[in-house]
Amino acid sequence: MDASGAVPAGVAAAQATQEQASPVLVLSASQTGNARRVAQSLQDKLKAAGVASVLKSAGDYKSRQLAAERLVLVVASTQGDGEPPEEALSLHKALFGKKPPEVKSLQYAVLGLGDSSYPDFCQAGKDFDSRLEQLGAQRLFDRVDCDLDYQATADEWVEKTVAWLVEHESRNTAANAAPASVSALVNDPQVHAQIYTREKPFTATILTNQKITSRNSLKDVRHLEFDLGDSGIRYQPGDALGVWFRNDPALVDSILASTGVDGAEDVTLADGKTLGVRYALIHHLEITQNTPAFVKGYAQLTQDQALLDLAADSKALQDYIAETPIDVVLRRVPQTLTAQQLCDLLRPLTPRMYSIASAQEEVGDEVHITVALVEYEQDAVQYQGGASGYLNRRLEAGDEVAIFIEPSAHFRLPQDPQTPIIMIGAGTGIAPFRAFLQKRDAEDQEGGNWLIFGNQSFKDDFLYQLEWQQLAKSERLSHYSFAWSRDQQEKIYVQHKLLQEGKQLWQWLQKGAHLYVCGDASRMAKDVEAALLEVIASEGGLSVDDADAYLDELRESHRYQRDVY
Amino acid sequence: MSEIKAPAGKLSDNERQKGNSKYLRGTIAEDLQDPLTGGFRGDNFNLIRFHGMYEQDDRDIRGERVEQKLEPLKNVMLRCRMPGGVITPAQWLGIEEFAASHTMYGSVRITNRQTFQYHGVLKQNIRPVHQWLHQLGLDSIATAGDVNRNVLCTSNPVESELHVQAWEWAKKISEHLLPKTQAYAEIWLDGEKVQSTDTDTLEPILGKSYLPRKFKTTVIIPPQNDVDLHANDLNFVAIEQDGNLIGFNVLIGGGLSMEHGNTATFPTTAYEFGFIPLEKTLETAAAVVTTQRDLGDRRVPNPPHW
Ligand SMILES: Cc1cc2nc3c(=O)[nH]c(=O)nc-3n(C[C@H](O)[C@H](O)[C@H](O)COP(=O)(O)OP(=O)(O)OC[C@H]3O[C@@H](n4cnc5c(N)ncnc54)[C@H](O)[C@@H]3O)c2cc1C
Ligand SMILES: NC(=O)c1ccc[n+]([C@@H]2O[C@H](COP(=O)([O-])OP(=O)(O)OC[C@H]3O[C@@H](n4cnc5c(N)ncnc54)[C@H](OP(=O)(O)O)[C@@H]3O)[C@@H](O)[C@H]2O)c1
Ligand SMILES: Cc1cc2nc3c(=O)[nH]c(=O)nc-3n(C[C@H](O)[C@H](O)[C@H](O)COP(=O)(O)O)c2cc1C
Repeated sequence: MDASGAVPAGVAAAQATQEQASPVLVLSASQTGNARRVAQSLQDKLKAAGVASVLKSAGDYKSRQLAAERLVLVVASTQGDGEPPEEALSLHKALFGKKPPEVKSLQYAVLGLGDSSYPDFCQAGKDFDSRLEQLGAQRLFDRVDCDLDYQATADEWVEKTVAWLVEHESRNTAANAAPASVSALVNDPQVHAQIYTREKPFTATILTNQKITSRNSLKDVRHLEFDLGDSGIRYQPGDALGVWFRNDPALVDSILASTGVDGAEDVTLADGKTLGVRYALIHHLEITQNTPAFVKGYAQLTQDQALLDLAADSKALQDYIAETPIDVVLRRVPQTLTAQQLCDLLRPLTPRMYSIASAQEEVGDEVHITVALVEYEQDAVQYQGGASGYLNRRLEAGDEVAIFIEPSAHFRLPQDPQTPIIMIGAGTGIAPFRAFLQKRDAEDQEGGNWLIFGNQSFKDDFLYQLEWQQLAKSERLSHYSFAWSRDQQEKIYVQHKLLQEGKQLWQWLQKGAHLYVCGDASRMAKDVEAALLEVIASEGGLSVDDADAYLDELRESHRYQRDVY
Repeated sequence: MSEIKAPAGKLSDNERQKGNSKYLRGTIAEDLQDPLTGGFRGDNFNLIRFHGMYEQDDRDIRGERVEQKLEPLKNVMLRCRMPGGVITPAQWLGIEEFAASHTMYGSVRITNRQTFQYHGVLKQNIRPVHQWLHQLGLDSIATAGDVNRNVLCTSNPVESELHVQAWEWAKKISEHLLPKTQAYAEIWLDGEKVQSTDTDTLEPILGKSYLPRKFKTTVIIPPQNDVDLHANDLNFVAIEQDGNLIGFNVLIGGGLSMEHGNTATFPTTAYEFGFIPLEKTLETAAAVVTTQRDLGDRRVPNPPHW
């Protein structure tokens, strides 16, 4: 790893321990950038207040260093089913492992970011908080959990924390408020400052909106190209594209009809803006993802007994939400509401992330993504995902979309162009690998490239088939394996290919190959990890524990990277 | 009398392909393992014809699939070998079953040369289709390509004893003129790898480069002429005595297929050659085929008939 971010930070820490107490460690554990932004603002404010501090992202932090820290402030989001973000997996494992770091003299505080519609709300934050306490560290103040609209809660926590530290750390200010690490993350070559952000997105024009599954496919997957014009936006393979979408007006009208709300009525949103309700539902509120808060709130308004019963049983509520979109809740139990009552039940719209499928070395001022339409039927009505429905079905070339780059901290090609890579992906998980190979091809990087891709059917779902054929012909793609899950009676998935080609996989790892996994988090990524462990154990002749340690080592040295969702 | 020779000149690329094919093996087996494409590459595209298959694709959606960044929907058409077009009811049911479950269109298409074709067999189903036919007692060897094709015979072997006998000879002729290479069994049926000795004796009748063009044979029982004794390369007209087959009147050199606009390939009718006794049938067939093999025009693919 390039250590341009880490070295000055280490130096600062060393100086601090020599002269006085070591600086405060701000540790961010983030997947899509929210926790990172909060941690950055905390760091900025500490700096402004003259408190010496070091900002680290969990992926760049070695867990055993924790023993040497004095005070750590953790900002952690939750991913998967209550799991820590990818970059914090090693730290999490180390803390919960057999030999956790010695933290008895450590002081800490945790801010959790999450989404209360998940059953394990802010679980990673909770884990760090309770485990550090268990291991004997001293909690400075109670953990705070932020929901999707985290900004206000997070700001409040930051203010409070900075104030506390100013009060207690005044002796620790002075000279070594060295700004060496202040912008460690920004200077990190892996992450770069963005002109356009989530809050200030760029309006890009769609150049291409092309279905890339066949007419017989069960899936509608699109290849979308956006024109970045002269925005100056830069991105790297591994980054994600944030997309602000608009809800389907037809769905909005259905919701207005069920609740007897007149679309022209004004409502005031959480941020104080006053807008027409129909406009607000299209542009500012989530209506495609159901939440416990919505069902509970609606149960209260309707006093419907079945809904009240559900609201009181969190397990049943989760199951209900998983299969009942908001529109169906309203259709089944229609109730006249005021426009404001309706909006107060709903959360603010959040942008969706899409792994970038292009490299600027190849496409210049364009960005490409690969989007699978979320589509299902409930109560005889066809529903689509908010963003994927917008992109795949309601937009065409020439239309404009608000987008921004969400840099990835760790999903990156190896620094060394000679390093071989193994890319494992299912479905739209193929997207970043297209970007990887575009870059490697454009720069004539010589490392071997092995693609292991899975999807339903060879003839209908071979995403970017013609491009992979070209890359194989030119030998840029040196090795490839495909798992078509529905072309035969039994399921064949990418993990089966891994097991089948275990020997080869092990050889590649011995040659220093980096492993990348992208796509579905809840099933595929887990099964792939189990298969990797199996191959490592059998081919490397290692015990289960040693195989586990081997994979951990790969993860810590950034040779095992995942972009799963 | 001057010696008759094959027309001299540069051989067509078809000839190179056949000659280099290692007795029809090419690298077909490797292509079957290639997971990037549903088709066959290079020479193999043509070589699979000798195994009874043509690579095709659904033209109506070719353009659409290119937009979708997908290759054309490649598949093969497979033509069964079925001398005289005779099969058992059990075979018919088996043929039907495979069509319904493993072809793109779910249909069996009957041809005008007494056999049937499967259309839309995807690459992953190619070995299975050969194995399926094999266990039904059928195959698709030499139903396409520059070889003796499916042998036709006046239909209905249950009509008379003569019909049965004639049909038996249609089968014998077909088998006698088949390629002797083990390539078919090896590639499609898990047949044992036979060391391909690189000598011309492996294919005594067809030769290492097989025929210059396709070759068509019929067996006819007068008074019917349903299979057309004038329209095929080699035609055996059954001659009976007391209801038993004793030999054939042979007609040689007919052919209907033509290349559009190329007068050299215009249809010709077969010429009467004479009577041969039954025991000379296979020898005669081989003699005619080897004549075509040695003297036919190999400078262009699909040359004029004779
Ligand atoms: C880092 C990252 C990278 C990503 N990369 C990609 C990518 O490259 N390509 C890609 O396609 N996606 C990608 N995603 C996923 C993407 O961000 C969206 O989550 C996805 O497109 C769905 O969003 P949506 O707005 O269309 O659906 P939403 O509006 O979020 O709808 C989803 C909701 O529909 C409901 N639902 C779904 N199925 C059913 C059902 N059967 N019955 C009842 N309710 C149901 C569920 O409540 C679910 O929450 C990525 C995600 C992350 C975090
Ligand atoms: N959480 C869920 O239940 C769920 C379900 C579908 C999609 N998604 C999301 O939908 C988006 C994109 O989906 P997509 O359509 O591109 O791909 P996908 O639904 O992930 O499917 C891609 C391929 O992965 C296979 N697959 C299923 N289970 C697997 C497992 N345990 N291990 C390995 N492979 C497995 C699928 O096979 P089969 O389909 O034949 O089993 C298919 O061939 C992602 O955001 C994904 O997370 C989520
Ligand atoms: C795929 C995915 C899974 C998530 N799972 C959870 C979860 O189990 N529990 C939770 O509280 N939040 C969950 N969240 C919500 C995130 O924690 C929340 O969006 C947070 O703001 C993200 O912060 P980050 O950008 O720093 O990663 C999930 C988000 C995504 C995209």
